Amino acid sequence: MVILKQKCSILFLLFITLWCNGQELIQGVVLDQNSNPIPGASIRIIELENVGTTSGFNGEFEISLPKGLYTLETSFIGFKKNFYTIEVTGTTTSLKIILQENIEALSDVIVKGKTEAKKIKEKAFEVEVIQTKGLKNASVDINAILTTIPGVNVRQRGGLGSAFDFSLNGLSGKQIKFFVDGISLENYGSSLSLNNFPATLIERVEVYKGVVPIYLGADALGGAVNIITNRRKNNFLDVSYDVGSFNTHRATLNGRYFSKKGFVIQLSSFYNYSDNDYTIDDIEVRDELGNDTGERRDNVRRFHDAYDSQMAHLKFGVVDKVFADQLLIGILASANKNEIQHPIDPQNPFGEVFTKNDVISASLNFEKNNLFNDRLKLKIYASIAQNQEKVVDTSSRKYDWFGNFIERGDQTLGEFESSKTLFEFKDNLHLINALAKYEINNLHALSFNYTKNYIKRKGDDPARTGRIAFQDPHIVNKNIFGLSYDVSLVNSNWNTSVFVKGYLLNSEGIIEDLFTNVEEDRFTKFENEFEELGYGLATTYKLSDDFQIKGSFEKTFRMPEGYEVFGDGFLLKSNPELLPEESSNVNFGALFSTNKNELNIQLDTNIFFRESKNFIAIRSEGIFSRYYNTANARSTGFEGEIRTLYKGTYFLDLNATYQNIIDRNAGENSGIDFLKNQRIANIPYLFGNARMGARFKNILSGSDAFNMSWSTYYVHDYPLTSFVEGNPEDRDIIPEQFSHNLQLGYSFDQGHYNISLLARNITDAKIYDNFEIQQPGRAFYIKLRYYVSN
Amino acid sequence: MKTIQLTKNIILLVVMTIFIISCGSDDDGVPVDPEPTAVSKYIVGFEAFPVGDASPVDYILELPSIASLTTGEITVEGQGTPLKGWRFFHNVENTVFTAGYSDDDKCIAYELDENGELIEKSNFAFQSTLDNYAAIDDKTLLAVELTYGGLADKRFHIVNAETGLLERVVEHPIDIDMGSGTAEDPGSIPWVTGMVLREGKLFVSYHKWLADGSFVTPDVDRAYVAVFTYPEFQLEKIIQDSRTSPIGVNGHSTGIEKTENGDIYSFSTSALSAGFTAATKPSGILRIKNGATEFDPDYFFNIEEATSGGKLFWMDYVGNGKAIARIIVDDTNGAGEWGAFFKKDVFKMVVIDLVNKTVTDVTGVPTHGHRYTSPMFVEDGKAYLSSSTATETHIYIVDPETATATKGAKVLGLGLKGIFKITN
Repeated sequence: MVILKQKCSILFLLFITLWCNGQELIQGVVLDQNSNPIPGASIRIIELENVGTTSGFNGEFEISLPKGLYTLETSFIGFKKNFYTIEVTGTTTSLKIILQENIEALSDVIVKGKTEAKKIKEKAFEVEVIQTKGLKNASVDINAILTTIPGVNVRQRGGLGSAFDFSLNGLSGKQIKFFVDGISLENYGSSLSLNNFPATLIERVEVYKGVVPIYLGADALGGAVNIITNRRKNNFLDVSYDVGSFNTHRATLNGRYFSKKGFVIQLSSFYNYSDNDYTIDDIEVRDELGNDTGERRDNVRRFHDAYDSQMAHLKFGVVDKVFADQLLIGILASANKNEIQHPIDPQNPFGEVFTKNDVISASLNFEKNNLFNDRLKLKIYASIAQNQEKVVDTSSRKYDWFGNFIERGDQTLGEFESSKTLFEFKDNLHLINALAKYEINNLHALSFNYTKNYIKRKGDDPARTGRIAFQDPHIVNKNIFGLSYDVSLVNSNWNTSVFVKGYLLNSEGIIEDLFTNVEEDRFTKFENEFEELGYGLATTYKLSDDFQIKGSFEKTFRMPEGYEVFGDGFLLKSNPELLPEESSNVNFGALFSTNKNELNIQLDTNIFFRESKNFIAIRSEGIFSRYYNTANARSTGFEGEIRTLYKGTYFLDLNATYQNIIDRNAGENSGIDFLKNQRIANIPYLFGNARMGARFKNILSGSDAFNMSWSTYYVHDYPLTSFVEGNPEDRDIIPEQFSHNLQLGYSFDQGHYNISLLARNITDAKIYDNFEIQQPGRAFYIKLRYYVSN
Repeated sequence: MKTIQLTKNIILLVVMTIFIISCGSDDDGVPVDPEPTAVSKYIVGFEAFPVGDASPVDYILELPSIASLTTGEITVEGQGTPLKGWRFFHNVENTVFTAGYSDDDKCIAYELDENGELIEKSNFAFQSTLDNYAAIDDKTLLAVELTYGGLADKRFHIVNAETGLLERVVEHPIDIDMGSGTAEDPGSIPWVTGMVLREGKLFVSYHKWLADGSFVTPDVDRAYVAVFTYPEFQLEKIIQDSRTSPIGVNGHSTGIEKTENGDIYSFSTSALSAGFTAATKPSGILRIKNGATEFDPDYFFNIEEATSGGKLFWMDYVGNGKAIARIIVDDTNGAGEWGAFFKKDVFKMVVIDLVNKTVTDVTGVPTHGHRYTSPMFVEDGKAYLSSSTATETHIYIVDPETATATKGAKVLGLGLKGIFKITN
């Protein structure tokens, strides 16, 4: 947790020697005291009215001035104003403006509040930003970090790598889309997922609530999460290893090298392993026939829950060339293997079934920021990938929790599936994302984004002779167009973004009708097309330097997946009448900050409203099942967060979320009053976090730091099946969660060496995220990290 | 000293124990409470409406009187016990069993305690799914575990209804055509649709699936019933009849039933909307006469040719030679996709006179749907049946003598899977 000092790199010199076309042109770059570029800083000429500019993505700016003596006032939130006097003499002038942070407070103990994070938070969008700098030393994955955000709830099924359900303001599953560096993860497999992505690889995470900017091109009904990996322009090497309870090992290797000729190579990689063999309680003891003996056993060890995953992402190319600011080729490979301990009901354990995922991808990344007099920025990304998911269920054994098993009479049965399976599907993917932003002037900008997400899925099962799912390939071709207009008014105090998004989805597949005797009816080619137009608005007004209000709205869609419309060609039937899920999302928020008597306080509140229609859910029909449009849901809620920091050393952060999610048409057509607008069960509705701690510098030497923090996570109890149906005493309840973590960290030698200790669930509380599925008890982790940069 | 202290403690304990026990015997001598009177209650398996994108939830709900079935509304608002996943409901005398289908591998037994409260008596876990059930006598629930895929033995579970516990599992192939192991000839597996015990012989009706997991029904040109000795489970023979198609419908347990005089009647659907992938014979009713172990060659009731007839989806014997049945109005509605199982505009209700071979439409029941009916509840000669239209679900009280129905209580859910009356 030390400020990772970065020395001025040659890159910034490149900016300074940029080509210029006039004698009056002033060029410069705005940096913080660590030489990090500050984008979005405003530069004003005090002597001239209405002359000013804003620094760009790399902190650079240009301004044209007549000859004379001027004072440049450069300002940015969280920094002291800088006044710089220049004399324009007719020759090209290059400036380097260094802003000093204006509050000790904004040191990195507070995970939020740093430059880029704060800048994004102050955008008109309702966005939560977590800067992971302070968490890079901790033994956490992204899910653990996201759980601490107001409005977000992540429900996990078990330990490292287990399945999870991410919900944001009441919408969840496919309604929330995930991105890495702006690129959709939607069709990638489980090995590139939030439950195993270590914090060390990440710079920050942005969570867009309900209203999503166009550059995240997806049909995100309820919002989007964008994970930003290392964006700093320096050479570095970052190695970490982390070991802990349940035989958990995690390692990361992350680095980048720039050559003087503009060649760059960078690697992000991780390896995770855990036995996840924590103990659980209340396990039924049965006799050999299966009768309940009434006995319950505690401290039963999970025995088939190991998880391993690995990922390597290599990028190489050139930066800061005439033809491109960035031209990178990337190769990504990831894989995981996940043993499944039990189905939804944990009383029936599995002993052998597991899933596997392999992803291989190649990508091209092009960025050019200074076209047409620096007005046009262009970013193009293209990739091809292959994703292979496999279920290996080849055992007919029936296990109990004590490691015993019987061979089942029917040897065709699997543990998980109704028959043994080696089912796998292979997806071929293409992804294109192109973003162009044109700044009409300093106050107006137009952006256009295009995303293409193409997937071809084919299923295979060597363990079966008959029909299998996705035997005939299914194709889904999703195209999303976004156009936005950003305007800044009232001395840049009123910022607004208006946007439209066009969704175009084509899907096609061939379905075989097994039950027809007419040969020409046997194969039907299905084709389907969805077109929708979404739109939205995000606006914010700064009433003062300390107080800002925000409002945003978006009409969003989630297009049905191919299999939801066509089925899987086997037991999942088609429903060509399926409509997209749609939602109107509204946020009203306010940001407030104050700094008095060495006490820094930040307040952030938001009221949200989601009016959603046509939720897509599966319903069974005899042996078959089919996707239908079901609930019309309305989610209303409030989330608030307060962050305090005293003397730059002691901090206390609190947040809470309350949401009320109702089904507007439950029991529809039945003329039943009490069911209508019924609260939807099995979703947490009141939860919050508290985090307190302190950070001390220069303890044993002048370049070390020690920090400690205590964090508490709370979820109010909630019913599994209904808020109104069933005798209140007999309802199944997911009990209240109250868990505490303690973290200690020590860094020395300017943050090059870091050691951190984490105790999770320190009171060994019985906690459940899902009905009867117990979470790990007390666990300890130690993490060592070495970091060096130029 | 320690020994003395210990001895003292023991003496004290003994004295106290004697005192407590003697107090207890005193109470026994004086009957303070009168014998609790027998309490009867109506228990229903209630399938609630789904809320949000969750699947429907089944509840077990107790109702105080028959009036709860005939008037007003039946709701689980604030009452009833939610259960896990989609479930079957069956009873044997005063025990109600409910077994999970796919989300729960447990069969739970309920009874009324001495205060007349519905309580869980016991439960047992099974390996995959118990697919068919029969109360073969007043003490025994027979439940058979089947699988769609394999050529393995089927597993008969003999459950003691008094304790609710599983006592014995018998594995038997019933009737397996092993095929040749090739994709063209994968063999076929029996799917039990009814079980009747009569004089030491267990009759098991079934239809067949191709054993390759394709859900194709082969061998549809005849009906078959396996005859076992019971309790030995020796297969005596398999009887067959080519006048109609395989007996019963997936999930229903009333494919064959015994009447008061010991005759056994079966029904065959021949419906493509009820899970069969082919049909060549008419839907109809066969008989095995009391004492016989062959189909009665002199009896066949062709329901499709009968006045007011059609394809049977479900039939249950009500008494006096009469049965109540649901007939598929239009078999092309949902053919090949199990439409009769989930559509709401598929059935009409009829009374079938098994002896006189007549079919009479029941007046007062609309065209309706209803997926699963546990053995029908009959009180005072009248049957109580849950049926749903697209907009509402009611109990209909059917009088088989007049073929009329009155609309009973409104069900504030998807439907009732079973209605039972039990006594403590």
